[in-house]
Amino acid sequence: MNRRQADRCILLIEDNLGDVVLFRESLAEADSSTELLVFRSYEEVEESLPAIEVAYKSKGMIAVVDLNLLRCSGIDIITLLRSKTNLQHLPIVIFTSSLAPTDIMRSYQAGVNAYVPKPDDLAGYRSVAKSLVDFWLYQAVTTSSVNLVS
Amino acid sequence: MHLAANPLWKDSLSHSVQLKATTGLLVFATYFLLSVLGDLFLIHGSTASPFWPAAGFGLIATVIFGKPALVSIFFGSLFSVLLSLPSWSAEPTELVIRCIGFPAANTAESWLTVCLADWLHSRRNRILRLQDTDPAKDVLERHPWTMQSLQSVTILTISIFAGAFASALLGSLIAYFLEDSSNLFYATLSWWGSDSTAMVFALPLFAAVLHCTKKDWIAALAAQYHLLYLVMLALLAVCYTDLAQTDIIRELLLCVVAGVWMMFCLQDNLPMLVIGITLIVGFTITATILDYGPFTGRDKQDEYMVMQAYLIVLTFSGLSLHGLHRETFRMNQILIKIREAETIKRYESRLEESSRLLEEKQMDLEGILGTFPDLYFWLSTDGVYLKYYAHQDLFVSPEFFIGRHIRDVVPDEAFPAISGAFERCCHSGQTEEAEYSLPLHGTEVWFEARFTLLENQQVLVVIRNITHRKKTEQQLQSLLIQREKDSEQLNLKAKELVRSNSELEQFAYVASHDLREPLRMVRSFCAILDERYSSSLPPEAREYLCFAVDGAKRMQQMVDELLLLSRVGTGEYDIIPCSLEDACDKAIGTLKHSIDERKIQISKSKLENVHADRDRLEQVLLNLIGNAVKFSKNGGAEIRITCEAREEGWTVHVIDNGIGIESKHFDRIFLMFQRLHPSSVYPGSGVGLALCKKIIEQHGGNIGVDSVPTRGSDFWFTLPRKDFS
Repeated sequence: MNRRQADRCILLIEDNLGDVVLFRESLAEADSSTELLVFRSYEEVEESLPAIEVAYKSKGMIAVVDLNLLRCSGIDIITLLRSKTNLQHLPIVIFTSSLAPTDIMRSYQAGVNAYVPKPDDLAGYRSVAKSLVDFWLYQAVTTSSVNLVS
Repeated sequence: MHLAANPLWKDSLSHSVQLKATTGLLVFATYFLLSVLGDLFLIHGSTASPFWPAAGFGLIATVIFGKPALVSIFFGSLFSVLLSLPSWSAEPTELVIRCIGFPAANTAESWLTVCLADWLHSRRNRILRLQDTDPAKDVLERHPWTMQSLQSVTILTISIFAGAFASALLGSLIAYFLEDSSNLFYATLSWWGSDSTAMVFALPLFAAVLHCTKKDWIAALAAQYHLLYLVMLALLAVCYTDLAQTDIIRELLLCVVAGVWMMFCLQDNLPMLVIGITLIVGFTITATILDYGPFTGRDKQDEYMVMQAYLIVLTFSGLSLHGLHRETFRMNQILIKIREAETIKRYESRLEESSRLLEEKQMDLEGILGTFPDLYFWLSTDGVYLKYYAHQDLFVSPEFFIGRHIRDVVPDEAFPAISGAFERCCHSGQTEEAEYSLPLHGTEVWFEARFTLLENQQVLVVIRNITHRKKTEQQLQSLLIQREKDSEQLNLKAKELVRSNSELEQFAYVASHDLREPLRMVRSFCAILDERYSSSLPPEAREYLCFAVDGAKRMQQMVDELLLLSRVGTGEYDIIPCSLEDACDKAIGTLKHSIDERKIQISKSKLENVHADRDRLEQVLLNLIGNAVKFSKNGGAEIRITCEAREEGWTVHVIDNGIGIESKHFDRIFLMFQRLHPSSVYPGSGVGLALCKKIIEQHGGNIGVDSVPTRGSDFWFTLPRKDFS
């Protein structure tokens, strides 16, 4: 793992192991240099929050959150992340199989940056993973890079 | 008098003309002979014979032969006058007067006598007929001295004297004007006396004749006539021996006295009559004794005799006249009484008729009232029972009600309602109603009382048992309540149904979501397996992997469409006027690839704006056109899309010339997951038409199909016109 690899990081908050594997496979194909950190529950996120905060200062980072988690909703994760001042502007992308209008509305109200439905097949997965990396980690400028500059 | 209807005239002989002529001649001859005989009694110097038998015969002949006898009498008298003519100095005028006047006087005598007797007789008969009736008895009791005067002899006597007097007066007047020397009074008196005597003489014969023809004439009374006759004869024989001249003024005075006397007689007052005759007799006798008055101027014996004759005739005729007057008076009284009685009787019968009618009406009314099951009471405005009518027995006798006040009679539980309505009725004068119930025989009985103020200020109360009606009302009420409950339950059920329906849709939505998750896993990892390890897998395993991938793919499709279907039911419909043409184009655009591949001709006609939700309309057209494309035949396939506009909406047709559908499947194809062909031949989940049906039904339209296998299908749907005002 070289230094450059550590510069980009995706926080995947997803409890379904299959989805995690699929995302990891797709990400590996799209950009093997991006680090993937997987959190399986609210507690894990909460536990790692200080580390995330620290990492956000030095890395390009996005959080990819599934809405339907065990024992909690993705909205809670977003609230949790946004509760930290340093993570106020962390790009958060909802990645879910739900297309319910209420879910979409509630997500954006909670302050997500994008709402991406999960594709039905492998090709779709790959496409989404590549797009996310390309856009959020290479093209877009986030507050983390501002910190980096300053 | 009406002679024709007269009983005496009516029975007169009436035979052939010859017989009449013979009879007339005989009467003429007899009268003539008797007149000649009468002239033989003529005393020298007198104007009239003291006895004139012709008069008696004339009377009888007139009674027997009727009016024709009067002609014979006239001529008999005329001939006797002619016979005696040479003894009088003759002037032509005087002769004519004599020849007509004297016979006429004689004829009139018979005629008048008979008429008078007849009239009196008829009246007598009427009185006899009436005397048994109650009014007559009453009158006769109050006015006695009747039956005697009713006898036939009295009637005849009156008639004779009256008829003779008339004749005598007429004859004497003629003689008086012809001869200055003649004495009117004595002439009249002698004529009257002679004729009356003759007729009285004839009375027995007359009575005998009547006896043969009339049962009610009493022959036994003939003796009385004889007696009368003898009295008269004696008086007159003495009276008329020699009649010298006398003073005309005294004679007239005598006539005046007679006139006054007659006036007394015509009063129905016996004391006055007695006083009158006493005064006249006393005055006349006293005056004559003292040499005053009409009877003086001759020797004393003559004076007294003439005076006595005068007084006798006067008294007799006066009393007769009085009797006649009394009879007339009495009879009038009786007739008045009878008329009154008849009138009363007539009124009584009318009254009886009226009361009978009234009774009938009463019975009719009671019959009508009896058919109503109501009770009727009449109350005074004070609230006191006056009368009642009930076709059934009351629980208490009517006497209990009558005369009592309603507050004493009406049970306490019904009193407020009844008294309230009663007061209102008395005040407003309009019909008021009250309903109340009473516990009778252990059950509750309902009554309705109607109060009507009548014109006579009585209040009619009609009470009707309305228990049946009330029960029906109550049943109806409970039914209504039950129905309301039912309808509430129905509403609840409907709400429940709506809720469960939406829950079901929600479930379908959620389920299809959750189904996607494991499907994604299956598909994705199958794909990875295929990619990475297919080369190392045996051919069988690769084939199985293919089955798994294919199954997962089809399941994915079904889940997608299920999701679509669940959204169709739940989402809002934004129905606006939108272009059917555009929707078609959009659907055709989506299917462009397949259409081009199969070389299908598509034609559109008369597509106009319809009222629909644009996206869903596109969905429907996409499905229908998609089906048409899918089930098209190879080569020459055509699809036509048309639209019919109507008052109530539009009908859109999607017509193809594809493989068609058997009519038995027409309904099935619109059900969910119903397929007619295996998906390997015609791919599809079997949700498309179900989706279309649901969308069209949400628009308020219908969807259907007409098709002939191998010839093609016509899928149509209707869209109603909406009001966007």
